[in-house]
Amino acid sequence: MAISDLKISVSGIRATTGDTLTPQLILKFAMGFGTYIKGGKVVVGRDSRVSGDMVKNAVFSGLLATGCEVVDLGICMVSTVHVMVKKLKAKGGIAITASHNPVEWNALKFVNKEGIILPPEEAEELFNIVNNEKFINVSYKDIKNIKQDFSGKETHIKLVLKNIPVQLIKNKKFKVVVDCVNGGGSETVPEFLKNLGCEVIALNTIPDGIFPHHPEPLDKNLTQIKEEVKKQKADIGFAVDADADRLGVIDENGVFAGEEMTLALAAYYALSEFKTSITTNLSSSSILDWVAQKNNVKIYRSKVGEANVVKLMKSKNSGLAGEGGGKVIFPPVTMSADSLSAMGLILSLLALKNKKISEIINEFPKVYTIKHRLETGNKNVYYILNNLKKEFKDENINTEDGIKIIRDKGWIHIRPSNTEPIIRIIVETMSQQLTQEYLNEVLNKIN
Amino acid sequence: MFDKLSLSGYRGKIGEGFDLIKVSELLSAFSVYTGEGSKIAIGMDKKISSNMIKSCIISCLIAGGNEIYDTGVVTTANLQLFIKEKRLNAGIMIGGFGNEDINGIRFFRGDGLQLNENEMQGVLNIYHLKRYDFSKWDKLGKVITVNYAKEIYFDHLMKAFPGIVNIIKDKKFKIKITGTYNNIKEYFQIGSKKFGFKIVKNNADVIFEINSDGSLSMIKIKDKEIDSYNILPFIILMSSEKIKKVVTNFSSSFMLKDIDNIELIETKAGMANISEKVLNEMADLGGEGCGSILFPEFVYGYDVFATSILILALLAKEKELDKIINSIPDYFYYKKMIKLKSENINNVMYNLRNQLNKKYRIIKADGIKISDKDYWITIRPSNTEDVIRIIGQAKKKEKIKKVIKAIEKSIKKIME
Repeated sequence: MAISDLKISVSGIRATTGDTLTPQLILKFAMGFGTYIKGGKVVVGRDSRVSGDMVKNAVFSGLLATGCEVVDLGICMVSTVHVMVKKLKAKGGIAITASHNPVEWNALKFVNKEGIILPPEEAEELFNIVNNEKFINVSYKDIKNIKQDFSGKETHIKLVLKNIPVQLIKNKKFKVVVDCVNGGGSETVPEFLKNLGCEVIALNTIPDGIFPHHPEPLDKNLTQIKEEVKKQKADIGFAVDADADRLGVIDENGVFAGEEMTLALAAYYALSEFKTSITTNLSSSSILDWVAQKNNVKIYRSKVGEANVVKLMKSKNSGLAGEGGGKVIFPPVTMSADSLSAMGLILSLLALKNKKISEIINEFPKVYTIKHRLETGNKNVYYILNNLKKEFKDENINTEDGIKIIRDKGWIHIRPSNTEPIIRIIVETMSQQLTQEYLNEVLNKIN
Repeated sequence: MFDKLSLSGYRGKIGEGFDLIKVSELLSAFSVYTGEGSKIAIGMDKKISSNMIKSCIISCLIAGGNEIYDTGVVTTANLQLFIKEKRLNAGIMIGGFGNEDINGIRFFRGDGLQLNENEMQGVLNIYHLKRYDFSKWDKLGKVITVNYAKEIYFDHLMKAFPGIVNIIKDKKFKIKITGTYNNIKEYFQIGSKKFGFKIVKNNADVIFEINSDGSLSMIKIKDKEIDSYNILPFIILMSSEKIKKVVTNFSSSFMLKDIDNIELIETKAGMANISEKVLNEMADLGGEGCGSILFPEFVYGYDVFATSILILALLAKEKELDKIINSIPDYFYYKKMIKLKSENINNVMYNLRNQLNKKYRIIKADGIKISDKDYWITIRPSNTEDVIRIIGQAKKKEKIKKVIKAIEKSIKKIME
């Protein structure tokens, strides 16, 4: 199987069990990573997927062959891997998780010694090593051991607690329903909320990788938690994905706040409290511009992908970052998407405002978004995008990641997917009708 | 750089030729060979590189949908016994190849025997065609950690040879173990408690010299050294007349041929060949000149610990020990290993056979065998390394010297 057939992106590699996710592929990437970092300590953690054990063992083997000392964190949140790379002063980390993808998927995410996902130029270097199969093979004397370290959960929780107003939250004695989807956050997430004095009703907390529903925290997948929030008369509901980097928020009425709202709510608290700029991607909602403007701070936008967002966040020294889809990056904790940070910031907001979560959500401007996935068939994605650039050349456009057309009443972002041969079209305006009209306009031009 | 994939399995020098990706492909081929849902035991020696190989194997077997029984650090014989006792489908042993820098794997089938050449060829066919199957997520395999494999081994050892515990205990033997026996150290430690012998540094009744590959290179009793070639005949003599049928390779000792009233069956070298022949011929004993012995009533695999225990039991019982020891002749042994490039081996063997055929009576057996009433020499390619092994024995040294010179000269000429 050619490596080019795989889903390789700035986020790492992704493949499906029983098909493209082979032990040989994983072994090559683990050996490639060990070669790239030239040995040293590597932290490895995984989400709860059934294929996790298979992937983990291939990763261990490849890392040992290249002289790395392996620290096995066991099943954990993806952001715990990032936290532990920093804490243990490791040369890098590998998180085994396909995040919000369905159960048959799995993936490798590579973390550098700074605790951040490999930036694009570093990822490219790694992929070159793998493609050329030029791996280090150390002598038997230089083969290291595998050490188990299950302290990641505690370290991670403590780190978040250090950076939020714990007592303020504790005083409110929030009742919280949380859905861990039987994923990597099944132990850490409820434990964290208990540390904040919350009454926790935890759903799906057996980390066996059998997801009770699609793990992406989208409205259609959250029926159980929405009902439970209403039934329990909870203050708020939180739903995480399989590696607990993404967070979905459910209000006290059992209504999903929307996938763009998680970062917006976290920003609502953080930008005001820390007077910091925010970095996000070009596809994230303009609600964030409103939050930034309200707090008189800057907003920066990068290409889509956590690696790109983090790179820009670092260069702009933003105190908060993230992407739509429920990803919040809070640098004092970790420079990766982290649902614990997101929950901590949102509960801080809830405690500070002393209002119901639905009331806070209502303070935000109402926007209408469509995320359209366009199958391009035999047509070349880049040919289509080049033509669109010509079509919209007289408008206010940004061509950093595909093409973003910025208009007074909204915006349209058309970009190639990082992982699939499709075009993603994201449209956002203040009216449902206009959003649809903008989308139709683009589709007509493509056709 | 060294690695070799052969009908005996795979081995290579860690960091200098050992190819982990090749191992993973071989394992995926083996997984197809055994079929999805197979129960497979894995064992390993104490080498640090064995952990690396084990992780690779586990990954491939899970991907192939197998149930894996991880027995930890065990001897090959222990693994073979475990496979058979637990009625598993197959097994894989990591290590057991001597030096610390060399490692490899061997495959075993459900009855505990090593895969024979035909079976191994089946695995290699899948490997070469790259016809791997990987299970869907809900059919993936799992690992079961086993910490009772050694208990099964000792229980079975005592059941297979009833009464030996008391026989040995009564004698309170002091034994010394020399050589690189790290991989089986624990077996002797457990054994000392169960069989009541003491492991000492000085004044031992018996010294066992164990090679790093787990074979007995020498035993010393009453200041008399019995080298590896004579261990098999020594055990037969000590067993009185209980052993009637013995399987060995084409390099068997003259001493073995001199024993009356036993049927000696010769076959190709290597545990896979010997054990299968022992099974098919229903022999009482199997073994080779390197000091590897197989007791079929216990396990169809070479077992240095069981060999050592049985030697102690025989010593405890045998009244004519001095007579037997003194009857062991001082024959001359010759061993040489010639390193060659893999692609040259067949050519060298072919030409050598043609050249030697003009002067000597060649027996086409496992490689080339030249046999005379006073000496024999075998020349055969190794199953596991890119070398040709020349092994010979003579009643008197001068009888064999001329032939060895002729062989070495011929090889040199062929290589030119």
